[in-house]
Amino acid sequence: MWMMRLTAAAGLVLALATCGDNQSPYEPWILDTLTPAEGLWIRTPEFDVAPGAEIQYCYFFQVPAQTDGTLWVDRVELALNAGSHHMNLFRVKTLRGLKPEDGSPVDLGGVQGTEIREGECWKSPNWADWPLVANNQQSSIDHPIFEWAMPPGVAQKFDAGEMLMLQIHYVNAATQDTPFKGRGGANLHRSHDGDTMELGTLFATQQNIRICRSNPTSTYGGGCSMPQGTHTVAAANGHFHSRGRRFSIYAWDGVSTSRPPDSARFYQSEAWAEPDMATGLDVPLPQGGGIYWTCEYQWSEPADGCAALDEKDPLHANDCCYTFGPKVETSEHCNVFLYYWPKTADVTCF
Amino acid sequence: MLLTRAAMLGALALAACSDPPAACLGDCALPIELAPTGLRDGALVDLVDGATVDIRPPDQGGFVIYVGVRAKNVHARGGSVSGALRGLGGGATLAIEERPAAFVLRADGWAIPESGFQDQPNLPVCGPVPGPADFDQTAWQAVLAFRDSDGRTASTTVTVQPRCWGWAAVDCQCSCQFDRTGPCVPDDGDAGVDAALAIDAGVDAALAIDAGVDAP
Repeated sequence: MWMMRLTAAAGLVLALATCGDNQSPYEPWILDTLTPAEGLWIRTPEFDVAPGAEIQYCYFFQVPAQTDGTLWVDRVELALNAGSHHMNLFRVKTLRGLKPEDGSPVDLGGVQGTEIREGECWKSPNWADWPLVANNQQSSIDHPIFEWAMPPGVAQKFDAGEMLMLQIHYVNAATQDTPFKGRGGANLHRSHDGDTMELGTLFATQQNIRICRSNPTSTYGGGCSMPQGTHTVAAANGHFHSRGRRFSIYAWDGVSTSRPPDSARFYQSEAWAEPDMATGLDVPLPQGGGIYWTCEYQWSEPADGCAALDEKDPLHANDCCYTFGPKVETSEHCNVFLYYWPKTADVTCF
Repeated sequence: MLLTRAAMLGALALAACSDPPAACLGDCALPIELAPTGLRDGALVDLVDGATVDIRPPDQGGFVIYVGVRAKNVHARGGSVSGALRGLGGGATLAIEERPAAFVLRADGWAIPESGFQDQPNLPVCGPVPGPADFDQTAWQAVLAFRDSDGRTASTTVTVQPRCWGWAAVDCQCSCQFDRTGPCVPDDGDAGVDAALAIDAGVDAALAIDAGVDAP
């Protein structure tokens, strides 16, 4: 362990020495490396994000062999250099166009894996049924590390050999900038206190959204039902792009066909670039219910004009519409990332 | 003089920037009329009880059905359309969605969704299903509502039978198993994206012909 820390310290000195042109000294984040007894750790290589660029890379790796075949994780640390738009960690399920065997070998520190840059890594149908493990949208210079300890008795369960995929999106353009280089890392800390309640996750998205110049203020809302059983929300965050003004999540009774009352709202964020991750939640969802969420948008003039938006508009309406898409500069999202217990199923709503 | 001109330009700019009042599509002194619509074989169609609707893979992935309404006597711009699916006996609601309404006026006086894909609720249907059957083996009640820009509302219901559609049917049938835990095997050539949507934006030919007048 001390050797690894020494290496990290040397890396810090080297990084400081090579970043003389930046507006402030670059202090790379450091996460402790973990022994197998402590858990699982990965670090992506550093990569450039050129001015004007948006990049998305996918890193595949397997959960290493475990003494008893399973790894229970009750604390996560997710770290990002400044400029990241998001980091999502998924369990790999149905293989469509994005396949680990198509990637290039990459050293991820604690494990070896494969890397796919751009291409299929941008196409969300590829991970439509891949259960969410963890996510992070916090990548400011001052707060590069997000840490979350799951509720007492609760942990995430992984099988040895299970394939995971870490996806990182960086932007260095008009809406977000990457002042240094891109890089991400994760520590999945092994539970040592006998947690037996499994954490479940929910990933939901609004389909076919459209924020247009002619209807500049618009709201999309949707409900997502949970499997049978009682569930408690432990953490949640929302995700949209720069036209997003307010993201709200409510407990939903699973019966009513309209937006729940404000009293049922347990999450709200008006920050699009670094949206709040609400942890420490203890929100019981109604039996047989689920969640309802809303994305409120305000159209704004694109920095580079409307041509790119109009070109990708499936309706060809020439109305400068931001439609669904992964690119921050020219498209929009409306996604929920939610963590609940006890797990009854991996929930995806889209 | 300069000030007067500046004031006039300012007034003009303000006038140009303010939203025009939504025009009434029909006679807004009358109650709102609704009729259920949906997407079948890629075309926007009227729905009657028992009608089949496509389960299709949208751009984002996953599987949804598209159900909505056509409307009369509404201020459509600035309004919203919502949809929900629930069991025929009532009880649990499987999916629910509300989105802005972008409608066009048809020659017969009905306002119809500008796009069958983007202007009807997109209801995800292959997540956890509160029942003992695969989603596409079950009939559901669609509850459809419209709220116009004046806040007036109306709703209607229709029974629908979703079915896995076209080139993505094999993947759909696997993905929509209510108790699925393992991966599915995608259809040959499945990019996970509804190609029809990318090509023609989902407005079928017949609808495009009828939809001659843009809603203001």
